[in-house]
Amino acid sequence: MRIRSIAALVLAMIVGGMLCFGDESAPQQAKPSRLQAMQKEKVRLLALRRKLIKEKTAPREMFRLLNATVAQGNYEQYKANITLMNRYVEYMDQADRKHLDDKVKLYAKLAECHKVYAKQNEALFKAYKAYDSGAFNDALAEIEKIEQRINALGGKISRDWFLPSELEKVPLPGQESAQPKTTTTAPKSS
Amino acid sequence: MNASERAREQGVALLMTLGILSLILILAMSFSFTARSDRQLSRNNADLTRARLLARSGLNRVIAALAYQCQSKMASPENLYPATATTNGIFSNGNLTSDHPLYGYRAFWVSTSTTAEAAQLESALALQYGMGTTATATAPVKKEGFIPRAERFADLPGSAGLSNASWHHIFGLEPWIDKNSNGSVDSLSAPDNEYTDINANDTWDERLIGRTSFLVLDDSGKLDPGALVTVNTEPVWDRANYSTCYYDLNANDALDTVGTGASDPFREYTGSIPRRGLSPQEIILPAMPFAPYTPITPAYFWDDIPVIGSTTNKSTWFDWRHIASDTNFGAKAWTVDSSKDFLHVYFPYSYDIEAYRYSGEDYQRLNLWDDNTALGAGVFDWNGKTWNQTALENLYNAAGMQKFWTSTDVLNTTPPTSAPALGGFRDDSDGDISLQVLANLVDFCDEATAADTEEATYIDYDGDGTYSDQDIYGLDKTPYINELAFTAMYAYDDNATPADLTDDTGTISLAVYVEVVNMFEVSRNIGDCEVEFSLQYRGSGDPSYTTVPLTLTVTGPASVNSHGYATLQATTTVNAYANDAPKNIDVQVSDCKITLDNSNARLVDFAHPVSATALVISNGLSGTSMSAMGYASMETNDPRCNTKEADWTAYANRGSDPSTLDMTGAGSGSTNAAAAPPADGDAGAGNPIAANAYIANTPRITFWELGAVHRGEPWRTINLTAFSSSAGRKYGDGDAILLDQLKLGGFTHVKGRVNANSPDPVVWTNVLNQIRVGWAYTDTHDSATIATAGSALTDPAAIAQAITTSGSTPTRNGVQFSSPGEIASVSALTDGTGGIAQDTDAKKEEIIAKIANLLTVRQNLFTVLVTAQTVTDTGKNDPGTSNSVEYDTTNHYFCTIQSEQKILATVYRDAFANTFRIVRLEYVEE
Repeated sequence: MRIRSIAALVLAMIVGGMLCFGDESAPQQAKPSRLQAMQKEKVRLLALRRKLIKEKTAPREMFRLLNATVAQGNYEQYKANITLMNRYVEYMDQADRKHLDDKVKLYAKLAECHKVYAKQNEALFKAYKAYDSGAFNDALAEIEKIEQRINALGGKISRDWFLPSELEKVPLPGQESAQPKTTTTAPKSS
Repeated sequence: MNASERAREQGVALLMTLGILSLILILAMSFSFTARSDRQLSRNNADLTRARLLARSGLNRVIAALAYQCQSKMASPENLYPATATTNGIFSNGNLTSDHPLYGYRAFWVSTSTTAEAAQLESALALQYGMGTTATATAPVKKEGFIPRAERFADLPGSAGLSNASWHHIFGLEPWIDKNSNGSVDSLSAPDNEYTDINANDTWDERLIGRTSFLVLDDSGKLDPGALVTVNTEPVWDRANYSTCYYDLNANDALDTVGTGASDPFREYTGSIPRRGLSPQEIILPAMPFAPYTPITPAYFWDDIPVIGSTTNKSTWFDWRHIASDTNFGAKAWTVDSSKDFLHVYFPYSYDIEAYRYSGEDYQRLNLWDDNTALGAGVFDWNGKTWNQTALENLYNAAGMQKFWTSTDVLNTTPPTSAPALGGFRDDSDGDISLQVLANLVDFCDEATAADTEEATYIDYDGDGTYSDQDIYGLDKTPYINELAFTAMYAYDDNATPADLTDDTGTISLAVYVEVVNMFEVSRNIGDCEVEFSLQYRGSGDPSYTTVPLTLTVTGPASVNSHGYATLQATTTVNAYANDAPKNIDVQVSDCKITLDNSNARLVDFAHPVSATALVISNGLSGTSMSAMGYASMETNDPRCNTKEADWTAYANRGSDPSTLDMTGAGSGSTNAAAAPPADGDAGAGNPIAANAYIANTPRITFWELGAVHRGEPWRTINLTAFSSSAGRKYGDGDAILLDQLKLGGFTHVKGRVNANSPDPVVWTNVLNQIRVGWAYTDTHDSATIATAGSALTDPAAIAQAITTSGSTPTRNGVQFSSPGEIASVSALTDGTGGIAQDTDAKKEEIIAKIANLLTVRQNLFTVLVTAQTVTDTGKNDPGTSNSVEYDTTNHYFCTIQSEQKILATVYRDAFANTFRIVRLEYVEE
């Protein structure tokens, strides 16, 4: 058993080394953690914003560029949520046939959540296309609520984009251990 | 000689004596007869001379009475040019007046005295015209041309006071009985001091020596074929050749060249401006309505009228005499006299003076002709001069509407202090919008395609001593600023230096959008558009704002398509915080002004949408969120009414409404969806009343197009469908008073106007026959065409009837016109009575504005009949002869009529100087 494990490890290293050798421009790295991904996205957005500000980009264009990932993610997530909704409906039917009433209720709620989620995905994308930041942020707020409800129901959420509120809470790389900031007393112009 | 012979000869002496005596007797009788005859003849001649002199005296008395009454009432401007109708006229008080059907509803008045002798006067007047006594009051017979039978005045319906019609008695004042104060005869009085002790007891032995009576008829309300003005095509100048003008002589809606000013033999007055009217063939005459003349058809009449000029370019006569003297006309068995009578019925010489004359200079109404460039040479010929700063400023009087003819200085010893004013425009909130209307009017008429402003024209519209006011901008044929929007994002950046907050910055990214719309039928270029405003921001919860003044040049397409729009944009960033930046801020804009230029850097529009109230872009705008964006927008209610903040609707901080940033033009989502209103002024969504998006930029053809001038209120144009003389008139009150204050062309004297109070429906029908309706506003500036389709009214007689009568009484639809513009009060002109559809604002205004320039209310021509009689006063002794009358029915005094003379005269009144002249006088022999 131990020998098998060692052999498997060696094989994996060999395969991995071959892969690395075959694509030097994209060195294989360990999959980053969600925190790291969020930090990376936050750094990207901040850099992009600085660039846009420097270029005196119109706010509408800034809105479009800064939220493209979110908009794209919601566009794709719409289909996923529809699929999940249908899957929970199927689970609900199966549970119903087995007279598992508790399960029926649970799946019904989850199906409803993903239906609403999908609607918010759609609303968000439309708001994005219309440069309507108000509706855009409203949709994000709704999605947060829905996700909390899904989590509470024990459902699983799978998305590859980050909520702005998530990003705001994430410390930048190197700031994880920073001390809380103190406010200066510099006077404000008025 | 023997005795017998001697005896035979003894009787000779006797015979000779008798013969001589007989001869002497015959001679004496002959002498006596001759003497008596000569004396009688002399007496008759003397009586006739006295009668003639008395008649002339009576005529002078008439003129004096007219002058006195005009003079005494001229302090009222309405009476300077009194209406024919007596209700508003100068003769409504004092003397006997009426407008009875007997005289075609014309005003007339007669002589009066304290002793009523209406019957005698009636008889005298009846005899004057051979009427006899056969006619009755209810069926008067019109004979002999234009003087009808004079009925018993007291019997005339609706003629209160006419019972006083009577003779003017002329008394001799001698002999008299001189008495003392105690009543005894003053026998001691010597002839040479008779007048030294005149007292109340003296008895004047008045002896009637003559008497006069008169009848005056107002003849102003008729047409003059020699100068009937073309209604639908006022003369239009050729800009390349100033002296050439064009008229539509054959009413085919195409202009004909008729001559140049310098060489034109028919030009009038001293100016270089010839004047023409319609061809005579275009005047449709009705049949003469009374015997003995045969009813005629227009063809019958006009085919035989001589034509001045070529057969294709027919011109007008100088006056009716040209017609009457024509041999062809006479060949139709019309005598010259009868034709004169005929013509005099319809076409007495009608004359109108528009100017106030001082020192030989005419101060006129505002001429809307502009044949050059705005405020350049030869434009806006007011007072015969180029419009200048003073002239323009005088157009507006802040105290309200003032007319230059309100001066009581009828003798014209001082110049008018005020030009024709265009004040009095008020919006629904009673705000004074006169200046805006004036600026719009100037831009409407001038050829420039740029807004009229104080800055641009150096005209102090509001008289505040500066030329920098930005409240008044005219509307020209340019794109207008329609929408304004701001977007902002706030970036809080801690600069990734965790241990130090002092470098936390805050930056505002800002974009400004301006949408301009082109409401016109041609593409328009645009140039720079600058937005000047102050950006204000503060950390959320902070008490005060930081203010950053900004001026951004927004850019976009170089032109705006016809009935299209363009969105212009500019962006900037404001480094709001270099350190200590808050994470959330409030952002707003204050005092925002927008100027839009064309490609020639001429201002075409200005708006001040944010002044008193700040426009909030966002409160609590997050600087940490990548998706937080604030925006606010404003849209004007009417693109042509966008100067002031009150003209705009703000949609501040409406982040949840996607329509707030709808910069897609005047389409869905906009409040003024009708930013491209239909050219015919049809009412529609967002266009509830009148919205003719039309700027002429060419000389005006008719007053009608004034109705397209924007009124300074959203979606409202000048309202020509109602009249008000109020100095604070709102839209619903009507603006037809403009028709009194303006004119087309530089003429100081106008012949051929029709008295608006003309009581004869035939006259009105003829006027209405001339106009063409159903036009559409034409962009003559760009298409270089003037003519437009039109058609005659299908039922002008119905309108004429409505104007002149209401039932059987001459109420003129309840209106007595004291100015031409008052015709707007006649509903029949706007309600389709004429047989055309009048369902739009423009169509409703078409008839009114196209005939207004033809009308006058100025009474200026009178026909006067004077009868004078010389008499012998017989006191209380009634001779009982056929020529004796009781001239004082109260005290029973009698006289015998010795001679009589009648005068028929035409008297013309110069309304400005209130002077009269006799233009025609005839001793009428019976």
